[in-house]
Amino acid sequence: MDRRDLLFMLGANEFAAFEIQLYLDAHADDAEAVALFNEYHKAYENLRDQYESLYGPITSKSAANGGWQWISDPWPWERSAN
Amino acid sequence: MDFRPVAVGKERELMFHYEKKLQYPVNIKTPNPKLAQVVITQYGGPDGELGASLRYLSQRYAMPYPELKALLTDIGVEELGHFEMIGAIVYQLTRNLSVDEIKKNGFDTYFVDHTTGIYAVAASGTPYSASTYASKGDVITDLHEDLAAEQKARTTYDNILRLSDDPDVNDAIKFLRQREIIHYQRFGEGLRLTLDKLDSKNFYAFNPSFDNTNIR
Repeated sequence: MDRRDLLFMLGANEFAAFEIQLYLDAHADDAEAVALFNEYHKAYENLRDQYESLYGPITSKSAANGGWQWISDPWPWERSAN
Repeated sequence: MDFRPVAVGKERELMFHYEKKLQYPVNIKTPNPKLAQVVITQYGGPDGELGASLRYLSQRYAMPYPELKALLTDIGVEELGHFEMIGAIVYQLTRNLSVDEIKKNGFDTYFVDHTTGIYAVAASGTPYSASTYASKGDVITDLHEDLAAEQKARTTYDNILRLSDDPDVNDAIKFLRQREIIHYQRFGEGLRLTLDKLDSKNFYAFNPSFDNTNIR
C-alpha cells in the first residue's frame, strides 16, 4: 500500500469508529455498537502506528521518537500531505 | 485532523488534541481565486463550520442530559476538523497566483487586507460574528437551532456545488455536505430523546436547562 492509500485506510477506520461514537452518544447501551466501535478503533490504531513508523508522527505522543519530527513538513493543508 | 476527546483515555488526557491529518483529503490541482471567495463562506460565514463548532461547543454547557453533552461536544469537535478542511481548500485554491489573476477574478478586495492568508469572512466579506448563532440555554430551543443550522450548511454546500465545476473541490465539498445531513439526523435523535424524557402533555412546563439544576 502506498502512503496515500495507507493514510486513507487509517482515516476510513477512524471515521467509521467516529460515526459509531456519534450513534453511541444517543444509544449508550447498544453493546453490539460498542464492540463495533472497539473493532474499528483498534484497526485505526494499528494502521496509524504502521503509518507513523513509515512516514513520521501524526500525533504528538508519537512525535518524540528520534528527534522532534512533529514539526516536519508537509502539514495537512498542503497538497503533498493528502 | 481529528480533535477527539478520547473515550478510552488510557494514553491521552481528556482535552483537545490535534491529529496531523485532515478528516477527509483535500488535494486541489487548479488554483481558482474566484471559487476561493465563494468557498471561504464555509470558513467564516453565517452557516459555516466555525459557527457550527462554536454553537455546539457553547450550547453543550446548558444540556441537561449526558447524551446531549456528548453529542454536542463530539459534533462541535468534528466541525473544527471541517473548519480546517475549508481552510485547506481556500489555501490550495489561492496558491501561485499572479497579480493579474488576482485582479481579474475580483480577489483583490480580499487580497488587499489578507494577501493569501486565511481569515474568517463570509463570501460577502463580512467577518465572522457570533451573532450568526444562538445559544439560548433551553434544550428544546437549542436543538431546534441545531437542526436548522445543519440544513443551512447543507444548502450552502448545495450552492457551492452549483457554482463550482472543479472535481477536486467538489469531492471534498460532497463529503462535508453529507456530514451535515448525518448531523441533522443525530440532532433529530437528540430532540426525540429529550421529548421522551419530558411530559408529553406539556413539553414546555419547565426548562430542563435551567429549572431544578441547582444540584449541578
